[in-house]
Amino acid sequence: MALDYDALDLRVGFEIHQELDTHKLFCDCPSILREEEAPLKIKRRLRPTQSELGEVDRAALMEAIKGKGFRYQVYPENICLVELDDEPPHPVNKEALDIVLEIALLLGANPVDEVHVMRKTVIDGSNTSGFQRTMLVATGGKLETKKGTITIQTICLEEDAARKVGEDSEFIDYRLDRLGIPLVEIATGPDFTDPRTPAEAALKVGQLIRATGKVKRGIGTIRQDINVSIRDGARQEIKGVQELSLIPTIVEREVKRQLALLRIKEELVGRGAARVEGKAVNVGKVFSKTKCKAIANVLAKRGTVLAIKLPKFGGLVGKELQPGRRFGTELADYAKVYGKVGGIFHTDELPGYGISVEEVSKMRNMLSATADDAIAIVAAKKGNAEKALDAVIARTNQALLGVLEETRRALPDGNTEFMRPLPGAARMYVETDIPPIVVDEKKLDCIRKMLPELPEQKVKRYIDEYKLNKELAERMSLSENSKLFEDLVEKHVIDPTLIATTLEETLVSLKREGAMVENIQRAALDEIFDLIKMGEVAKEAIPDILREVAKGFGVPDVVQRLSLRKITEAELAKMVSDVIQENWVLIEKRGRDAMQPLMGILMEKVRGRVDGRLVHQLLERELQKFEFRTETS
Amino acid sequence: MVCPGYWAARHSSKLDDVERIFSIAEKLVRRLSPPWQRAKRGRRPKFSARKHAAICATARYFDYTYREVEGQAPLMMPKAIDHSTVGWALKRLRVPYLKLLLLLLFREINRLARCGIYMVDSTGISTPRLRRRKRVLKTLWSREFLKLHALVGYSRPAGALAVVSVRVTAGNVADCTQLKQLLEGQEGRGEPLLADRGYDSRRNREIAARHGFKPVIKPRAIGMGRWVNRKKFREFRRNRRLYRQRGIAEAVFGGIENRYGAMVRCKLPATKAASVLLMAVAHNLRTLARVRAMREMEILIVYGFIRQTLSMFKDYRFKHGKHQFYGACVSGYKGKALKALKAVRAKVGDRLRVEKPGQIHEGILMPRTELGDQNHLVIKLDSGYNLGVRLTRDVKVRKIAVGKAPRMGLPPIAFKPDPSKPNVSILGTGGTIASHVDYRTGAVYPAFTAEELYSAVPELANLANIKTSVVCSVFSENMSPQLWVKIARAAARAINGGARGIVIAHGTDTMGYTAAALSFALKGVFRPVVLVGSQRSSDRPSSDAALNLLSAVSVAGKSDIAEVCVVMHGSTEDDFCLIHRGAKVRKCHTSRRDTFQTINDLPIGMVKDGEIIQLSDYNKAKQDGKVAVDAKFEPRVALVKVSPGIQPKTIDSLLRAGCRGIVLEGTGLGHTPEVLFPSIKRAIKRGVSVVMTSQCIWGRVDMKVYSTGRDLLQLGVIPGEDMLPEVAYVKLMWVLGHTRDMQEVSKLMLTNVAGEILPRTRPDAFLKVFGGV
Repeated sequence: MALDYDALDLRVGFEIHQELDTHKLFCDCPSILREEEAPLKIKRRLRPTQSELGEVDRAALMEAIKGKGFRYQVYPENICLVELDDEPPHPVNKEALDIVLEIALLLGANPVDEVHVMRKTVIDGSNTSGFQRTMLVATGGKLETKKGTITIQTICLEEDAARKVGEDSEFIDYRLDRLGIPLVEIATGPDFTDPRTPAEAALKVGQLIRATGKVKRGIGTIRQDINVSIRDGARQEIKGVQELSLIPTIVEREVKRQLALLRIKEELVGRGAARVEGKAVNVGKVFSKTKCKAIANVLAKRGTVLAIKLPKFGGLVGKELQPGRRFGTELADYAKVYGKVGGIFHTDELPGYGISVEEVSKMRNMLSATADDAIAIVAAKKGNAEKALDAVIARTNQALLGVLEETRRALPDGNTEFMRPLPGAARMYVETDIPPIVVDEKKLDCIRKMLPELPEQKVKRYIDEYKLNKELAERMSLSENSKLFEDLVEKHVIDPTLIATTLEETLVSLKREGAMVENIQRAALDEIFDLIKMGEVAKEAIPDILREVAKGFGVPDVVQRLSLRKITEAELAKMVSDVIQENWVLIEKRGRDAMQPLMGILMEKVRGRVDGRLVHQLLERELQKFEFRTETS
Repeated sequence: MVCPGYWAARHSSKLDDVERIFSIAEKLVRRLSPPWQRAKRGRRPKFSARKHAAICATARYFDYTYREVEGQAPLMMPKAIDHSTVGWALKRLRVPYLKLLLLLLFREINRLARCGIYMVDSTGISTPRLRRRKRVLKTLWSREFLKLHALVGYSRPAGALAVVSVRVTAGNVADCTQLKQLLEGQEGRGEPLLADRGYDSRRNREIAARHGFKPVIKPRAIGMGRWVNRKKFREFRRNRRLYRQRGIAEAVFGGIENRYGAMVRCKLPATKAASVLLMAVAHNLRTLARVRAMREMEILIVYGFIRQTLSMFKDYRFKHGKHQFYGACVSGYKGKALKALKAVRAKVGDRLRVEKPGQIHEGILMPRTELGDQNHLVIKLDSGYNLGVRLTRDVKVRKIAVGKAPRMGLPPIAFKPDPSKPNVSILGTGGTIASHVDYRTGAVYPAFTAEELYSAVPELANLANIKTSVVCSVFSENMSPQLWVKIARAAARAINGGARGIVIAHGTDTMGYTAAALSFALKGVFRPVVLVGSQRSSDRPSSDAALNLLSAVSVAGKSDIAEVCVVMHGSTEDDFCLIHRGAKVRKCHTSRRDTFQTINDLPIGMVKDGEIIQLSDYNKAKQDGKVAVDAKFEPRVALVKVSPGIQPKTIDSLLRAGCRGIVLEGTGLGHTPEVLFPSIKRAIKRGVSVVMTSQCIWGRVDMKVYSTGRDLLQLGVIPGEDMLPEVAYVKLMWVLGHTRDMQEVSKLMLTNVAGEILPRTRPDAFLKVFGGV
């Protein structure tokens, strides 16, 4: 079902966060992620700062006081006192700022005249100081897509947060190796109007950033977030989209979800539904002898089972919003986030999960619920169950109003799940420990002179200069080895296509085979190409040679050992005539068609040591001679 | 003069009441030494010299002739006075004394109504005397004139002009030469000094600046051809409006002329000058009476109160009075940026629109940091980010909306004192132990009243009933011995007033010094006196302030540690706090939160999860007692760190500067290079006590082991045992405040007064093991 996105007034925008390849932003620690066990763990607590908002902050403060502490894992080689918030931050990493200015100029944005570092309050523990330091570097860039020009609203430089590695009942574990790594954040305006273009644009931006050569590569170094909204819907921020190819799916499914929620709202209005009143009822007695393992376990551990009537929601809770996710799943997400429970049950999916029909009807009696109403059930410890049901009630009441603004997490199959409510205006105030940085024309001119080639220009150049075909040119220009490629071409005057294929295809296939391509040094490649140039080794031999070199042997040894030296024409001629002599029966039978099997035999014999075309030529000549001979005989 | 209540005050002040004026004059005169010394021989005079001075001043005030004074005498004093006595008294009053009296009057007036502007001007005083100049063919008689130069201070709210200093010279003296003499001894605090062209010279501007005034002098138009100083003219043009007020000073002269005729008839130059000075004294008396009346009528009180409360918020800058000197900043902006802002009348908090070719930015104007230059404006966008816009020629700035005034302060929580909880008093000295943020402007406000503290740190309500008071408000690097005395007195008052324990919030830089000072100054401490601070500012979520404050209040409210102690983080985790003895604690790291460590001993104890665990012995608290304050500190003590290549000049210059005691931070066991021996000997010979401590910080000084040490002991250097250099410094100040006798000093320095000297050193009291955190 193709949706008419224009009619729906779909608006999509995205944000890209890319790690920069330089040391940390506010100190001189290296930006390395570590996986082994950390030698030091430091426990801390965070308290939200009071501001003039009074009540709001007080509630947050009480939450924080009762909440969990944070345990930070520290590697003393990579983490200094600045990350631990035991030392004031050092001045901003100049290299990182230059990289971001370069990116800004590539995107056609206007850098600000003076960069001010701000503190953005974050107290979930992922920043040891309780705030993330971020600075606005440029505004107003442009990106060309097939469907028009997209504005780039802001380009910011910020520090990455620590990564969560675990949680227990008292502490949340964070690893500080990622804290402080510089990130460039590129945010577009909500200018996209269809699901496909954002993916293409994101790809383009990613390629552009990588063209600078100064950003990190690899999984996890780039993160995308998307904002989606439709008319009558609400803006959803979807975080953590890993695969660009998933973006269209995510957008489509999100639109479908919002449409489904709007339909639910209409249905509810039609049914005359009102807000959920009343309190949760303890229905533990109903399940005293239940076969449902989940509830039985909870009751055994002296938890409670609470249920609430959702009036006029019968049938709607089970309504599918996205493939595999129903409205009930949304409620369960809320319960999980706010109440820290495993999930909820609701009557649209019961009887099931071990709950019998009698138990359901007993519950309906207890709550005086008709078939038109739905019931949501939660089984957990008392405090958690209450919080969970409160969240469910809140979400259900929201459904009467339509869609609400949320921050959602992208799932690998293209669906999204609720993460937290969309935060209000950022609580940002100025970082007083770091003076503002002036960006003057001189510096910008310097950077302009050293701007890297845009990816399109590079592809064009490869096609024109090196005569690579389009596909190979595109791959080569985006690859990490593009510089190496250009060096090799300059040094060895042989066919650039050969070099490109070697670097891009041969090495990749060898890696797939499992060979240790890291062992292949530049020197080895030079030797190989020298040999090819001198005509001593055929190009077909390259994969075999590289395979051996990957095992750690030197090139001359390999060539010697596998006797991959090129065969001279005389030798080849002799070989060809031998083969013909051996198979003359076949030739008589097949005539010209014997070419192919003969080629096969010959190639196997000379594998890798001679150019295939030469073999073909000689074979043809011999065959002709042979025919001539047979004919004449 | 626009001054509300001027006439009401004037009428109510009984300015024309002889008794009133005489009593004021008498009380003031009593504060000075008598104008002439009482003669040792001869008949005992009927009136004291001081009384004569008062009579003369009053006489001049009312412009009485001598015989009129005789007539008015019974109103002023019980005895009668003869008219000639007044004349003689007038002759004996010397100019220096009168100048002092004038200054005293000025100080009184200034105390009640601070003068915001100062003006210098001169006027002519005529004499009926003629001077004879003999010529060849005839004799010329010319009238003698005097010139009165006066420095006058003006207070706008009170409408008061007070004469600060006066000089009487011959009539042909140039004005500009007198400025130096008039300003002598005056210290301005940035007030403008207005003067007319007659005072325009480079030297005068320098002199004015040196005395702390901002000169606003009209430049003379003459220049040496091309070398006219344009800058002077430009600056002056900016301050035109201010300069126009210069004429107000003429009111003084007008008054003198009106009331006293601006004429003197005396013969001798000294008496001429004295006569004129008396006119100025009389003017000041008049002003003082009126200003006092205004004060009583509470016209000035409100103004002063507002100023006082505002000065408590030192993070937020306010304009003082309506006269803003042009060069002052609009919250940090100066130069080009300030000009641009003034052109659109923009203030911090207003919404601005800044247009550059290719970019438009709209946002709220933010204050400028001192580290920024003068070429940029800072605006906060709606997204929350700040950015700086460079003011080039093609940038246009427009004001779109006026900003709201920022609300200061949190909505406080009301709290009811709980009788079951202990009463803890928190004294503030300037460190912000709790604060809150205005996200709109980024300003950080200290939270200091009890309500605000409860709001910022709610767990306090479970621990104690808090009462707060502010002792002083300085960065701790500006702490001084005078403030130690103030803090000690406030602490004693609080404990004696019934607090279960007190907490003193202090900056961490010199907390060790203050802790040592309090250990010595407070005698008979029978309740906990806890110093606390925070390394990371309390507006950050990660601040160590909350845990430190809670632990400190726990110790003050629950523990029985009757000592002066410091409570701060014990590790870089937010796990526990350590309680350090005040005389044995030192700040050991510039930024870590566990920077404070006990040196040469174990801490008294630690606070973890609200429980207090003892680690070593301490004085136990008693039910009742009384804390006495013995806070006499001699501030002229120096702490000198010895190093290879140190010059004897270092010690000698200290002696020349009047140092009374020297604490040496010697090397190793307490040694100095031999080159210092002669200087140290000289110091000790002059009665300057020299105490030796070690720059190793840890360990005990023992000067008997090596010959250098023995030589130093021979010279008379006092070994500091295992005292910290900083603590020895404070102790020497305290000891020298009590006695100068070198034997006594030595004895006291070697006696353990407050736990600063220990007889034995534990083997486990040293730096942490390598690799630990």
